[in-house]
Amino acid sequence: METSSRGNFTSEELTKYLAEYSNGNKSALDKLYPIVYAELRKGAHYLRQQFINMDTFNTTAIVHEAYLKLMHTSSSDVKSRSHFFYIASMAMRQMLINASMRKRTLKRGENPKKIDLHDIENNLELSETTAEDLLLLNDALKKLEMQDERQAKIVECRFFGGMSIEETALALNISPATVKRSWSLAKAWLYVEINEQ
Amino acid sequence: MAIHQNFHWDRISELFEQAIEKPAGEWKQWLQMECNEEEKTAGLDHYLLKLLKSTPRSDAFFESLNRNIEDHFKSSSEQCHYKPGDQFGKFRIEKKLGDGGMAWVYLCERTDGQFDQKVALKIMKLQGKQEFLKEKFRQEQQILAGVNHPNIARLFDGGITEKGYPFIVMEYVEGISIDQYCKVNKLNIRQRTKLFLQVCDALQYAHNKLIVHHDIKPANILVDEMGHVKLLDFGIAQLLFDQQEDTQEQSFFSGTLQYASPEQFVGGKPSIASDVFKAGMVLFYLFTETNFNFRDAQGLGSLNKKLSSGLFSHGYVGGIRKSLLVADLKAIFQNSLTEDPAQRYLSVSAMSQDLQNMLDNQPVKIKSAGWVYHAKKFYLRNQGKIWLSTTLNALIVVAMVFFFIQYNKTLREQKRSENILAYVWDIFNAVDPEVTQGDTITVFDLLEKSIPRIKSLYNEPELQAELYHQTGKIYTRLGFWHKGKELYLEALASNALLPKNNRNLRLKAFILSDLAEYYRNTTEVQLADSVIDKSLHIFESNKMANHHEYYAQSLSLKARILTDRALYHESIAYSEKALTVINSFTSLPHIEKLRAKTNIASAFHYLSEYDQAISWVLDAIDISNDLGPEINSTKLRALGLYSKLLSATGKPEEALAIDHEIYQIKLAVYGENKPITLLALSNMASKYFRLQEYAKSDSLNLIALAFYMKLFGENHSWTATTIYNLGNSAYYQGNFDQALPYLLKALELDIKTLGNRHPFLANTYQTLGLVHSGRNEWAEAEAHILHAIDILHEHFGEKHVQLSNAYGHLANLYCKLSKYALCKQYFEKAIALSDEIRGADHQVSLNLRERYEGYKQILAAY
Repeated sequence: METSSRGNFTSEELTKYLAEYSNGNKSALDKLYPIVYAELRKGAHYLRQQFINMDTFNTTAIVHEAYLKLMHTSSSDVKSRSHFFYIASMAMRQMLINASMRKRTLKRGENPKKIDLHDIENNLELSETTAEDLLLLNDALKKLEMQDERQAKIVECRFFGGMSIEETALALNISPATVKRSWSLAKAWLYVEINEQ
Repeated sequence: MAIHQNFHWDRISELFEQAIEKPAGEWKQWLQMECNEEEKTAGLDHYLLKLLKSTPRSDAFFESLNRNIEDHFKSSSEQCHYKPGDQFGKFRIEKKLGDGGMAWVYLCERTDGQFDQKVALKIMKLQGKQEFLKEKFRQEQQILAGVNHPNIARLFDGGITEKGYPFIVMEYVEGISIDQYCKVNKLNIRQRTKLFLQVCDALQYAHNKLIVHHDIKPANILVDEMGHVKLLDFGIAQLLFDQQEDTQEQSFFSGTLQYASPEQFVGGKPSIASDVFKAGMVLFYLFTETNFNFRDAQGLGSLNKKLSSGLFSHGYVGGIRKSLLVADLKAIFQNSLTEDPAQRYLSVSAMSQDLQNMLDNQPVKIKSAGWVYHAKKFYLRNQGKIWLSTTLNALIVVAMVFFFIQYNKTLREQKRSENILAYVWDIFNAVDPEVTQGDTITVFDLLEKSIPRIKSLYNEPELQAELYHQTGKIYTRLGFWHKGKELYLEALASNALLPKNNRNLRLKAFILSDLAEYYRNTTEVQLADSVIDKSLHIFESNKMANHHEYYAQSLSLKARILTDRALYHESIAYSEKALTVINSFTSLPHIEKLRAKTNIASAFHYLSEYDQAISWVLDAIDISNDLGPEINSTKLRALGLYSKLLSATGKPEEALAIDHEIYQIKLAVYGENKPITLLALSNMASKYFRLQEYAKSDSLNLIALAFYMKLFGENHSWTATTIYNLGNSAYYQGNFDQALPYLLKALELDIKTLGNRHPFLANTYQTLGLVHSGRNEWAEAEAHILHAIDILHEHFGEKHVQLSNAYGHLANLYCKLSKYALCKQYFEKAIALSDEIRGADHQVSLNLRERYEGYKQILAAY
């Protein structure tokens, strides 16, 4: 019986922390983040062991899966769900970047061995171009963070988390219209930034 | 070096966001105007222009990066171990068709020389707990294999590969997904709707069988080059979904996340309601080319904008005014894409009716009033259970009447009422007729009000025929057989006015079949027979190949009628024909097979050919197990018959055990005071009786009798049988005086309902004879027993177990009358027959011998 990535927390407790975080208590994030991260890593486990039709095998799906797994039905409050997704977006970003770094350090043409079937992060075989693109994006994103933190968060939500405009708006406490406009700008800015390198 | 670092971010932001709203051609000019001199020197306007111009490319960049990530997630799963050229059972793999997230799909060709067949082999990427998976898979597969609809891809076979991966073999469909088809062929609204209606048709068919698709999305709906829709992967998701239920794990999401219904997001089970939602999503996509996202608060508010201009650019869109169209669509989407399942269409056919109405320029159904909402909720909670409560009956029928009264008499409204009836009928569909008797006063009153309404309002014969038929069925379902029959006759009368095309003839055949069943239920057997013949004639002379199931059903009804008429061999022939018809239509378990086999077993039972009977009934029970856990009356009948056979072949305790089981099932499914449950009690009574537990037997019979008298009155075979049982029991307990009136009554009723030469009477005459014997009324005793023998001879010739009994009783009688020659003759006859039919070792044969021995001393003198 595999250990739950909830660690020692029940889903009621997780809900509580999520609520706290929603109310602005940033330290709740410290508790939540590692759990969410660990759950995302296990994404591959579900994707094969449980039946999910993953024709859309993407970040949104993995994030939602993690939500269902951790929170069960205890929180159908849209706002806190969005907050969860936001945390997951951050985690997803980290996971992808880690995978990209790993790819970079591997010698060209060498196939990485599969270490652990239950670990998306270790299993993710990114192509060279994708890995490079992701790393460039990450660098550009860091720069964006310095200019406008909120903008960068929107990118995390929309791109890494696959969140909808509504969800992003709720998570970051802004209007959907703002999200929409900012997202366009962010994409353009990042793209130009990446290509300047 | 990035010069933009000199610029204020807020300024960049501000300019960009304003500029992006404007057409691209104006950007340069506008920026020139907006930026001040300082900014222009620094190059802000150039920078902004660069940003703006890059938007298509930046969008593409992110999109492609996203896709790449997706692909990488996907490919981190395993590789399949089959390749083209490999043999897979009786198929050879031709090529790989695809590699979806959940399965590898191959095109295969049949190689066993039987016939040309191209199939799609899907091997699931799922290694689960072997035994559990196998069993679940097998059960589901049997159910799914019984799904036969032109718009659903057939499931031919399924199983587990050696490596433990589940696989299915299904019909190969050459086509493209429905959304692509619409795009490529540039279909307009009307055409798209018509295509979608095929999808609805398929879904409703499956829902009627309580099969949920689970994973409706455009990719699972293919259209071939002839514009024919095929739904793929029906219920497959269910298979694997169920597997998770067993484990501790809770997150078990089946289907595609992107197309999930809202309740699934909070852990709800997929259901018919979620299928309705997903169907709505597909429709939405077909009309707007975007996915409906229920999490977006505006939801349907921006429907106007979302409807893509290509399809909706004309004022009249394929003959429908755009403004009306949008209003109608909105209503349809509201009724399917709501978050609360209870607010949605209760069935897919309701949705397709509205769509049809939209095409025909009809007003779409308004949102339900409060109490209908509650009725729906109630139904949703209990969906799948095979019972119907009084409250629900009343509510549904009130809804029906409400709609009748609301609408006025235009042709269009007639269509709608018919649809409502069909809709209501869908709800009654799962219910067994015997269930609802006695429960429905309110419903009856309400129905009574609506019938005159139909008569006065709806004048088109075609609609009337259908309407009467449907309403008649509802009455029948509720147990009001006589009312039902009246309506069937009205339906036939209306139908007679119609042109004799296939559709109307088909309807006639169905009505006749239902009418025949009515006559059978009220034991008017001759009438039932002639009516069913008419029905069968239509089926046969009009080659209604698509209606195999109904033809088989009618054949089986004929078989039962023949059994009632004691024409047992003819009955068997008809049942065999029914089997042939069904077998040519599917090789998998099917309820009509169960029915036909049970009927054959029953006929053999009456012929006292017990070995044959047992073999057929066990066969039938096997099929019923393969059909899944759903309980239906035929299944129970088979079990009941088996119990009788066990009893007849000298295994009373085993018989009783089965009876108990049946009773428990009926109690659980139907409830206490229902005829069908009481019938189980009656059967148990007769088993107790055989075990000589007379007190138990009698009390059960008395309970049953009271109920039957109240419900059916005395002129019903069940009442008569129960009276007989009580009489028989009294006889066995030696209470001849008590027995006599019961038996005489039973005889009277039997003659009334069966005529005076029916084989069942033989039994009654015999027992009466015995009672007279017990009262030392010899002449009457002899007369009755001889009468019994006479009847038995007429029907069975020399060979029937009851004859043996009768001979035995006659022998006893003659001994008492000192007619020793006759006594000896009949004993020998009785023993010989008993040996032949039961076997010399059977207890009864031995008893007969024993008694004979006992009399031999006296007979020795003769």
